[in-house]
Amino acid sequence: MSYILETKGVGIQFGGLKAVNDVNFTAEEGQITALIGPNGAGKTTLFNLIAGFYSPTAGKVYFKGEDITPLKPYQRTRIGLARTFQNINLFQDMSVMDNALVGQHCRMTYDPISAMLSLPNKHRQEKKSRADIMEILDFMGLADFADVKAGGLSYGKQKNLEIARAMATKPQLLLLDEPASGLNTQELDELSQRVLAMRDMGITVVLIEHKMDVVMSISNKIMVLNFGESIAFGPPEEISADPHVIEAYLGKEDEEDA
Amino acid sequence: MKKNQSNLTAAVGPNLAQRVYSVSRVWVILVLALVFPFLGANNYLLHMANVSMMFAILTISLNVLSGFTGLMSVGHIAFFGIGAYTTAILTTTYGMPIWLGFIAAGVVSALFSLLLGLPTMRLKGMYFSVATLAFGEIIYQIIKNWESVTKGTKGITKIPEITIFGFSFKSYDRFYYLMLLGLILVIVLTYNLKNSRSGRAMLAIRANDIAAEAMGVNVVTYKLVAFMVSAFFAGIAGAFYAHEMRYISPETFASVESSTLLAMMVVGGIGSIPGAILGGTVLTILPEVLRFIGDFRLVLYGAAVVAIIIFAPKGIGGLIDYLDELFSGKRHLHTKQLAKEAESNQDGSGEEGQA
Repeated sequence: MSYILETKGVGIQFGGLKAVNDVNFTAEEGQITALIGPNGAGKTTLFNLIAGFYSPTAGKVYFKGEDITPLKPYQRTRIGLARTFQNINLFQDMSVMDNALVGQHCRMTYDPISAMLSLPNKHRQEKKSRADIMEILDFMGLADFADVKAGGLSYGKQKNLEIARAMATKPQLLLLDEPASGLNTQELDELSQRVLAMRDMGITVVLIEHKMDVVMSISNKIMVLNFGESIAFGPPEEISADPHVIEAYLGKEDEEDA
Repeated sequence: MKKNQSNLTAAVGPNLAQRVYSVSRVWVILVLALVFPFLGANNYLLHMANVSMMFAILTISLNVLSGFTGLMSVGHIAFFGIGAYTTAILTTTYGMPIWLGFIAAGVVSALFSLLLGLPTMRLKGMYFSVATLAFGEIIYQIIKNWESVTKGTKGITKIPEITIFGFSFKSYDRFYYLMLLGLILVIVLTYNLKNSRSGRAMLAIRANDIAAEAMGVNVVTYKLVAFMVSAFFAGIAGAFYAHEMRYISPETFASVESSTLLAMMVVGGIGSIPGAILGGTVLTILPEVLRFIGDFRLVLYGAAVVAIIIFAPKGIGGLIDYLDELFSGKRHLHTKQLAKEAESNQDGSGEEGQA
């Protein structure tokens, strides 16, 4: 099995509340896997467990077959696991380029002393990183805004910068937390195209999303969470026909959409 | 209509005056600094300039910690003291060469920051500040009471003047140039740090430590690096102080002096390097200028600090940034970018509103 990401019986308990309980999530390399479920189902909590922001109270997380449960978030980013945030979490006062360069942090190696003395290895790495980032910014439609402060961008562009910054870490697995929320129809379409393009670049994508049309059209596989537990896991056509899912999720979603 | 206007100015780009300004600003300041001793400055003025530059270095050093990573040190004068006493003790009691005293001043100071930082770097905001407050007081008490080494309240006298290959920097004007060189080096090193992988990591920690961690930044390590660089610079400033005054006593490093340093940073604008230089200079000179009105000057000094915080919350540095963008024509560039964005937003015909 070529699971790049696998959680085995992973769970976390906050006081008496089991926010995530016994979840066996898998993501196959080179595919797009979605995580859906009603509000409060534990989707973001599961992301935080995968990215290392929470330590599970039960179970383990495997990345490329290795147990990464004890690793800290920054260590997981280094080995190729990046994430975006549901609420925009940019460095508001820094430029778009600098935001993305922070993403390149762990792909550069020069130390603070070379930095202060401006040694040749600094120039070499900075030049390469900036060139790499311009490609990513171009891909995310931000190339013209490299020098603009992140806080000055429109909402849709800030969402794009979230993704660009995560891509700058050169991930093998990218966790996108509600990338489509708040986007207009054109931006939604661009997002779907970009996520598919990322997959074609060889990045495995796992996304949390409420917009069902986006999820159904681009995902290879979908997991449905409800009250912290996985109630269904399979390809989109199977999920949309699953009676548990319709009861727990899709039915309500339709009412909400009206 | 408005959009077209800004596009038009953007197409022209910065005009000749703006370009001349952009290229020459640093050099003009440098030339002014170089000719200052020839403009009839007496020893008193030169001494004030030297002390201002020391405090400029100190304020920059505080900025590397507080301005870059957001950690507030309220005992920063301790590192100034450690630097001053390190070189004073090494060059007087042990007769070591001064260049070694300078290096030791920075290194010992940085080692102390490591010692304080290792257990406290995981503390958040105010708790870290309380730890630095205690540290400042502890260092002051050690300096005052460890008489066998620091000579206690008598202070250390006859600290050697700086000589390089037999050329003495005893006179205030010569020391001025040495001090200026030191300040320029610190400025360059700080700018280099700010525009690097490490500096961006520090700024990211201040802006949003969770996002910084998600981007692969080891938050604790980079807070510690910032603290050590900060302490190193403060120690070097202390070495300059010791060899300019040639006499040091504990009172200079009393922990209340840390609040003066904080005021310098806030007045200059947290995070701004030019602001730090001006904040250090202005608050060194202001009490002297106000000396003629006696103790009432302390009230005025306080009022001036409060006024700057109220009317210019980003400090002098914020004002400098604004003027700089205005003179160099960068403000137009921003308008251009915003106009471009407005345009692309219109193209993206937002049918659905933003959630």
